[in-house]
Amino acid sequence: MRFWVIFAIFLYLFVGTILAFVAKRGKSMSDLEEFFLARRTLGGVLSALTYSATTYSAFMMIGLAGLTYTGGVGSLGFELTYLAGLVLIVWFGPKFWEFGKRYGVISPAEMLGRIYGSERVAFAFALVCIIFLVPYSAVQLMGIGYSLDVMSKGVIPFSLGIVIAATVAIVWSFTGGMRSVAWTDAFQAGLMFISSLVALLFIVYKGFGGFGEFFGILESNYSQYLCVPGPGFFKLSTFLGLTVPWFFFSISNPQVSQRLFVPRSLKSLRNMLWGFLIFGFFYTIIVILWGFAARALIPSLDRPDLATPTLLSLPIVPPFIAILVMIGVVSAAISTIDSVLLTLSSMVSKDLFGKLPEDKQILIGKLSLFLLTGAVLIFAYMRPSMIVLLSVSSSAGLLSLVPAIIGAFYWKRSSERGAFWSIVLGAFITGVLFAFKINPMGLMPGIWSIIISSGIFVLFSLIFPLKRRERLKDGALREEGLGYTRGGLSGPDKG
Amino acid sequence: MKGLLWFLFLLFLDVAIPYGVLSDYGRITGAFIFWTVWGAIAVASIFFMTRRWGEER
Repeated sequence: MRFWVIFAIFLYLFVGTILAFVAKRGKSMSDLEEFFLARRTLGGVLSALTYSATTYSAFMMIGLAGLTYTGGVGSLGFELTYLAGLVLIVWFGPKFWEFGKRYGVISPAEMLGRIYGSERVAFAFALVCIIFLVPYSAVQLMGIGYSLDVMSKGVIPFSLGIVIAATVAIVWSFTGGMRSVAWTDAFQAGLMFISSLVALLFIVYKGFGGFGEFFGILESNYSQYLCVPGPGFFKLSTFLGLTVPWFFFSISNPQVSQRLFVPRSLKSLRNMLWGFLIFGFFYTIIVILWGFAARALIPSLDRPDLATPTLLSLPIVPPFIAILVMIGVVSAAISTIDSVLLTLSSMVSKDLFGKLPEDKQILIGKLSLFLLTGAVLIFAYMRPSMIVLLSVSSSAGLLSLVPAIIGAFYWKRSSERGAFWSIVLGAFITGVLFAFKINPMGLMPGIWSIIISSGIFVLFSLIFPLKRRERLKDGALREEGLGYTRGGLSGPDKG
Repeated sequence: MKGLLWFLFLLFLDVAIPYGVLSDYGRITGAFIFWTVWGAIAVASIFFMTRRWGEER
């Protein structure tokens, strides 16, 4: 078993590394657009697969399966509501894509900075992303460390596991930037989907005798898990507190919104969206059923995040299935980490050091890739309690970016001060609510994040209108952006 | 605007049906099937809303 675990990991790393180098072949990585956005030339299928692998992390097979184990069917509603949130791309996708192409912007932070005519908006946007996403990546890395440790029965201990994963993430992203990340993501998306599907089918037929029997056992023994609030976890306030931040994920999280710049055409952008929706819909159902299978087969677990590893260790599961799922989980985590790191390094080079010449920015970008990976590795190794807090709060914290993004395209009176302070204060207050575990009026911090940042955004935009000179400068930019993107392209009714 | 209203309606159903009429119905044909069909309708709606992308230019 140990031999096959190590063999499978090396095979996975070998194929991924070959792909990373093949993707880069013949391309010079000497300009920002090539390194961070693959020169905006990716086709729809490849874009869909990298979008899928980036979005879905180890959270799915570990966290969501565990959530289903604990809370039942509410987790299906939560995850599919997230997927429905992709409707935001109907209104924002073409705007991001066209603005990026027209003005040559590299990161979502840079785009907002350009629209509001403000470097500090871009700076604050980038900084908030780094503060929340570095811990998020560290938790992903920790997931890999634990999985490899358990599955290899200690041959690959936690510390070695996270070093291997961090090394892989940096090699794959450094080699050919977005091109390498996209191709390795595509490979990993396939692994994630196939491994979870095969494992589910195996468990359902071997463990229950088929889907009919599986559903029958759920209905007769665990019927409370088939409704909400069911066993109690998914109270309405919890459901809303989880779904609201995730509904906005496609525009609030820069590692996915940056992918709106990458497709070569509007048709490719659409195909990316369609491909992701199909992937996400079926992947979600597979993972939820997997969580239900754990509930029925191993009903007395203390920790729900152990549902998947425990299920895989059952005697009815042959080793190759367990190894396949382990590789799938590692793929999900690494494909998210390297994409996040690449996006954050693009923000460091473009939004924190944007005044430097392009060759220096490239250098800073590549250097920051190493530094950010190092930070993620150190956080994962030291495991300070703050990491888990920031990671859990990341989806809510990044919500503070949403009002400024919406206002940039849809509210003419939105001002630079409104954008800046809604990002800064919104993120700060959300962090404080999480840190002190405060849920005012019973509402979770995710809900407060969007309420507070929207309130600040509107209030500051109205109270502090731009000075005349700034208004001209800012208004000219924003008018251009709006006028262009309004040009009959992206209205939801027009399709 | 029609698309926005349609999605607001879908989001209302997303919460109202499972937490309302199906809250005590512990069968696979309850909230599980509802959310699966609801998700498929949301996905199909996005397909419909974006079907002409790339043809207009």
